[in-house]
Formats: sequence, C-alpha cells, structure tokens
Amino acid sequence: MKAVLERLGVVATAAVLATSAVACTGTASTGASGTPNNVQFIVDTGPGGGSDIFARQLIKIARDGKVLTTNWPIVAKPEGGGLGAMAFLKSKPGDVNLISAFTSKWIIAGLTTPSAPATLTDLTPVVMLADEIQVVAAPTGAPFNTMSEFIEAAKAKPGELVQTGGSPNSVDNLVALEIQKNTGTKWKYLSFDDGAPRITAMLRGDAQIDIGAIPDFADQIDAGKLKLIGVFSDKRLSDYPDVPTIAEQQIDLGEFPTHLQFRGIAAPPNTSAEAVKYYQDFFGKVSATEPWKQYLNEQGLVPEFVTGDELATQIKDFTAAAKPLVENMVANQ
Amino acid sequence: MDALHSLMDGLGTALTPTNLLWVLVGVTLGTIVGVLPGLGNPAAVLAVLLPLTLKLPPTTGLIMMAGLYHGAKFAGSTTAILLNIPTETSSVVLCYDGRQLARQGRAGPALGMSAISGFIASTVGVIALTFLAPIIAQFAVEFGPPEFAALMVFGLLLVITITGKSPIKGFISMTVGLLLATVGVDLFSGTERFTFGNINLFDGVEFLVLTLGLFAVAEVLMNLEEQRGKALLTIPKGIRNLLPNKQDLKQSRGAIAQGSVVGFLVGAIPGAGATIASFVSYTLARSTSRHPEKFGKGAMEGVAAPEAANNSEVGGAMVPLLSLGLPGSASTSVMLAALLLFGVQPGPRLFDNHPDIVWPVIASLYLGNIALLVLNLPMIPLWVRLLKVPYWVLYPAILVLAVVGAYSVRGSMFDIYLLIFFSVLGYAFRKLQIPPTPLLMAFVLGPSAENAIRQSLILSDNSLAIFVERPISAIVLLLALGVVGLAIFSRRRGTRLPTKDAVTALDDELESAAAQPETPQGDIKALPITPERSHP
Repeated sequence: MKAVLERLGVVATAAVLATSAVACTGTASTGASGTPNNVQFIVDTGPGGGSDIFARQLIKIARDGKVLTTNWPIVAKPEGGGLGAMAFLKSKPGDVNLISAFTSKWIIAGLTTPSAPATLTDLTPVVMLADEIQVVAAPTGAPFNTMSEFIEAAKAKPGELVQTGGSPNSVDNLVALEIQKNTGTKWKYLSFDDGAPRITAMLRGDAQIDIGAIPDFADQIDAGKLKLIGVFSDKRLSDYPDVPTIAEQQIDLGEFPTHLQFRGIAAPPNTSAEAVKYYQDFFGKVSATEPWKQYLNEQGLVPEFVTGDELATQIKDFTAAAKPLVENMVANQ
Repeated sequence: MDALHSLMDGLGTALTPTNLLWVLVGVTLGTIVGVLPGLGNPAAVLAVLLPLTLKLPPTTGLIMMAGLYHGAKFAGSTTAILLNIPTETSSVVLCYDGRQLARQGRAGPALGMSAISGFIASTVGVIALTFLAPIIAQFAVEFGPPEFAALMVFGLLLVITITGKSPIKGFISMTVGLLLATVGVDLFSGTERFTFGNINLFDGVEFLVLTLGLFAVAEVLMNLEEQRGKALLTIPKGIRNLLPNKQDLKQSRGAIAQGSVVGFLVGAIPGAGATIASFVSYTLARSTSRHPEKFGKGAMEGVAAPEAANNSEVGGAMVPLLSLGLPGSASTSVMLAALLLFGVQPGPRLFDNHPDIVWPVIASLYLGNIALLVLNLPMIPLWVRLLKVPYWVLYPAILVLAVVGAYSVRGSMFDIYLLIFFSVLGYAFRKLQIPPTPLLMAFVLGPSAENAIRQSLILSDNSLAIFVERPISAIVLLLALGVVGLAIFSRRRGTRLPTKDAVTALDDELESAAAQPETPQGDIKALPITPERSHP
C-alpha cells in the first residue's frame, strides 16, 4: 500500500513538475522571428471571465472549422484588468508566438493608472474583431421608458438616482459622466465586483439603470423583469426594434464613439509584418465561418474586421475621448 | 409535487450506466486534480477540464462536471485536514478543528465526518433547491448591500469571539489580515492602495499564496525545527479508528443540520459563496455549542458544521443560477459558461425551456455527492496513510507543491516571492504565539465587508440608519448581537468551572502552531497537558 502511494506521489509530483516545465519552456522556447508555431493566447480574465470565454469560443470554432489543427493554450494574466496582460506582452518584444485579446478596458486602464507599465499603444494591434453593443437597462416598473426620460427624472432629483456597474474606471461610468456633464445632471454610481449583484440591485430597486452588453440582460428582459431604455449603436437592434438609440434620443456623448466596447487582438511590440499577416489571415478565416457569426450575434457583438492604419486611428480616437474624462475623475478624487 | 416529479425524471435520465461511469470518472479526476494546490480550486478544475466534457453529449458532460466539482471540493478538505493546506477558501476553517483532530490521530474520523456531513448537507441542499427555489430566489434578490454588510459584521464579530485565550493576539492577527485585504485597486475610486506601483499587487494578494505560506510552508519550518526525524503524525491502529464513531455522529447532529441550512441560504445570495457560508456556520456552531472550549482543539462539530455548509452551498448557489440566470459563486459561473458552451442559455425561463437539461443536472449534482461518499469513504485509510510518509519525503513534497501551487495561480514569479514573505510571517506568528487563522478569516471577509458597507453608504448618502431600516439587515444584526452575547456568556461560564479551567488553560489558540510531538494514539482525553503551559 505504502509503495503504491509513494509511487502515486512520485507520479503526481512528476506530472506537476512536467506540466510546469512545459509551461516554462512554452514561453522560453518561443522564437523571436519566423512563423508562429507554438502560439499562446493571453487573456486578461480568469477562467469563466469575458475574454477567457471569448478566446475559448474562438479557438473552439477555429478547430471545429479546421482553421486550426493544433490547440492554442489560453494563459490568464488577469492582473489589473488588462495591465498585467499588456505588461507581459511588452516584456516579450518580437515574440511571434504570443497574441492577446484586448478590449476598450485596456485603453482606459492605461489612462487611469499613472504607473501603468504598458499601454495599448506600446503593442502591435493586429485586428479589431467585433464591437460590443452597449445598452441601458432599467427595471420594468421604472417610471421612465427612455434614457432621456431617465435624465429628466435625474434632473428632478439631483444626486438621488443610482446607476449600477463595475469599476468607476469602466467605460459605462465614463460615458455616464460625459452625459451628466453635457446635460447638467447628476446621479450616483454603485460599484459591484460581479455582474449578478448589479442585476439584483435593479430588481430590488436599489439601482435604476445599468449600462452593459445585451447578454447581461437578455434573460431578465424575456422574463419581463428588466426593460431596455437606450442603445449605444448607429441603428436600432433587430431583436428590440422598439428601443430608441442614444442618438435618436439626442443625447450628447461628446467625443465618445457610439460603440463603446470593442474586442480585438494585439501582439507584442515589434512583431514582424510576416507574423501580423499570419494572424490577420487566421482571424479572417475564423471571421468568415458561420458558427463565429452566429456566436457574435448571440453575444450582441457586431462583426468588424479592421486592420492597419484604420485600426490605429480607431484606438487613437477612443483614447482622445476618454482621456479628459479620466483626468477629470482622477483630479476629483 | 411537480418539482418532485421532474426531479425523479431527472434522476431517471441521469441514472444511465454511461452517465454513472462519467460521474465516477469526474469525481476521481476532480479529487486527483484537487489535491494539488493551485489547481485545487473547484472553479479552476472545472475550467481546466471543461474542453474534455465538451466531447460528450450535453447531459453527460454536465453530469461529469458535477462529479468534478464535488471531487475537487472534497479534495480541498482532505488537504486542509491532513496537511494543513487549505487549497480553497472554503476549507480554511477546517484548519481549526480538522487539523487538530489529525494531530490527535483522528484524521480518519475527521475526513469521514467531512464526507458524511457533506453528503447529508447536499441532500438537504438538493431537496431545498427542488422545493424552495422560487421562494429562496426572492430572498436572494432582497439581500442587498446593507443586508450583506450586516452579515459580514456578524462574521467579523464572530472571528473575534473565537480567537481563543488571548483576544489581543487574535485581534492583532485579524488586523494584519484586514490590512492585507486592502492591498489592490479600490473598487469604488479606482485608487491604488498599498500596491507600491507594482501591477502584481493591483488585484490584491492571492488567497492561495497567502495560505500556502502562512500554513503549509510555515508549518514545515516549525516541524523541522521541533521534531526532526519523527513522523509527522501518529496513525491509530485498527479500522475502527479510521471512521467517525457513533458518539461523533451523535454529537455533530445539530451542527450538520445548522450547517445545511446556513450553507443553503448563504449560497443563494449572489456574491457570497461557500467560504462565507463555512465561516458563518463554524462560528455559529461554536457559539451555540455547550462546550465551546473544545473548538479549536479538535471538536468534531468544528468539521461537521462548515463542511455541511460548504456542501449545501452548492444547492443554494444553483438557486439564483437556475431561477434568475445569475451565477451565485465562482463555481456556478463556470457552470454557467458550460451551459452556454452547450448552447443552453440559463435564465429565468431555463426550467421551462430546458427541463431535459436542468433536472438531470440537479440530479447529477446529487449523484456526484453519492459517488463521492462511495468512492472516498473506502479511500480514507489510504489518505490517512499519507501521513506515514517519512518527513524527508513529505516535507520536500509539500514545499514543491506549495511553490508550484503559488506559481500556477497566475503564472507569476512575483507570487513565489510573496510565498516566501508569508512563510516568514507565518513562522514569526507561530514563534510569537499569534494565531494565524483570524488573519486568514479577516482577509477573506474583509473586502466583502468593506464593499458592502461602502455600497450601503453610497445608497443612503452616508446615513447609518440604512442598516437598521431594512428588515433583513436589522434581523441579521440582532442575531449577530445575540450570538456574540451568547459566546461571551458561555466563555464566562466555561472559565468559572474549575474542571474546565484546566482545559481552558490549554486553550492555546495556536491551533496549528507548535506541534506537539508526543501526540497520543487517537484519544482526545490524553491530550498532552503539561503544567508549564497553563495560565500564568
């Protein structure tokens, strides 16, 4: 019995050591040039988080569609909401075997953290894959049916109504601050770590609105517990044709683009043109598959395929819009 | 009755030979992966093995995941009891009594009690989920920041009451825990606190790294110093001492019942989770016990109550997931991800739209628990024999596992340096006879308490009245006062009795510190009572 156990122990330890050795060599052996052959996909959330699911889904669809024959392991660098992932990529310049899924959060994280070790502009943007449409949700029983009616209600009771969300550095708070500035209103922002307590805060009546993606609210809307009062998009949603867009409601977003959230792929600094091309081809092929289009649609994501200079401009414009707001917020702390 | 009918149908679907096989595979894999720190977190285990289950038909895949989840959870308790390494937050509390039982040679009964109370509690959890889900879901929605704050105040007050002989030392330990908990980027302002500009600290200190240093490595250091060349623990002879006896079961009845209810209710609150459930249940068991002085020194109830809560929490956490479409804890959010990958959208209408998936999942969660019991009770003697491994094999193995575990959480060398720092801290604590467990409890409860209190104050524009204006919050606060009052009362009563005084004198709160080499053979009464260790 003892011998068996000892052997088991040895096997287990060996397995662990081997795994860690593989993990280490995986990073160490990646060449600085050539074609990617041992790709690791960096994500900025832990298992089950937004980018983690996005990356897993992408790889699954690529493999099902035979676009990818190997497996690209997902490596979580969740420190500081994008900062850890950016710093990691920055520390591996020219490594063709690393890519990462970025979101608009990365741009804001770089702005809100004066000590940020890396920003998105330090990296090589590869491709923009999708825009995530943001919507404003409210409890069904709320006395307002549009965002502009909510703003009127907020005017009547300054500083009393509550918007719920995550970090104050998130884009949903920044855009709300911009709206408050432009309409001369004021409401509170109630932060929660997770998405679930935000929904229950609205169901309970502690909060009146929440800005998020469609899948965050879809079920509650189906069940008649929440309603949508505005859409951050150029046109109305096919699934919710009665909900007016923010532009239709003539709400001034300042310099902010209508699409507040996006998902793209970035690589380390100095990634060779050859490798960037390889990844653009790969993501192009995945983007063309039906399951991918279907997945994006289910998640309320609008397919995009932006590369090169256009992508760089898009990132620059968003940074310019967010910067004064972030600086203002930091100054007010 | 409809619900019962559906559950029976679900059991029928889940009970195919193939599915049963996959539950067993899941439990086994979960247990094996779960004993390795770093991978021991059930959410991580589920995430890692998720692709494996996707190759199976949806129902079978989800059933296997339920098995994995249970296996990993039990493994966490096993390492906490045997090696003092809680690989997940919900098994921290086992370091109080589970570990002490192991020291007394009763590791087997402690593990058995963990499995049995877990099984009973998850039975309660599944039954409650089947019949009470809609009612409890309403309760979960009503449980907002002020209510949560009241619960956390409850929890922290209880941490103070269980710090043992020297409340000052317990308080010091708790304060260090609260301080460590503030490290990171503040949720409400986005400001960095105690990060020294280092991005590795932006998300705070990793729980597992803290635990491995404070407990596993520090303990190895202490043992090396004190009992060179001796076996870590003594194993009782004879099979009878490997499982809980009748008296253990009898004395833990109340604790299991209480733990089951507390675990289910706390689990149903989105954002609370098994850790808080196990803490609340443990402290409640201690405060309401007739002999609270035995807690921290190897009370069977101290294992039974938190393990019951830890397991019925699963049923509770499924309530908001299945009736509101909201994940209640980390593990259910992975379950949610799995449902999504299978193309099943959880939500308020999941029960109506996909009864063919939901009920087999509930049934399989339950089957997972049975499989765990069946597989693990016979395995206990084997686990206990782990302690027979000579120190020159075991200690390096623990050190290797600790380092690999700390590294694997985020793949970061920084966490290994932190591990070294916390190991030194844990060693110093033991030398100064400061109990490390209040630190860990405050570390886990602190952030939740801070967030909930600040959220409440945002809602009320800084008026404290919000905590007593809302009924649930007022009731929880009242309960907290009651339980703390009871704890103080029972402590006084305990110290007045002369016979118990001798025992209280030994109430060395260093529950996991200063190994006692002369541990006798599995008999509580023969605790080493050495005169020089009594009260000054």
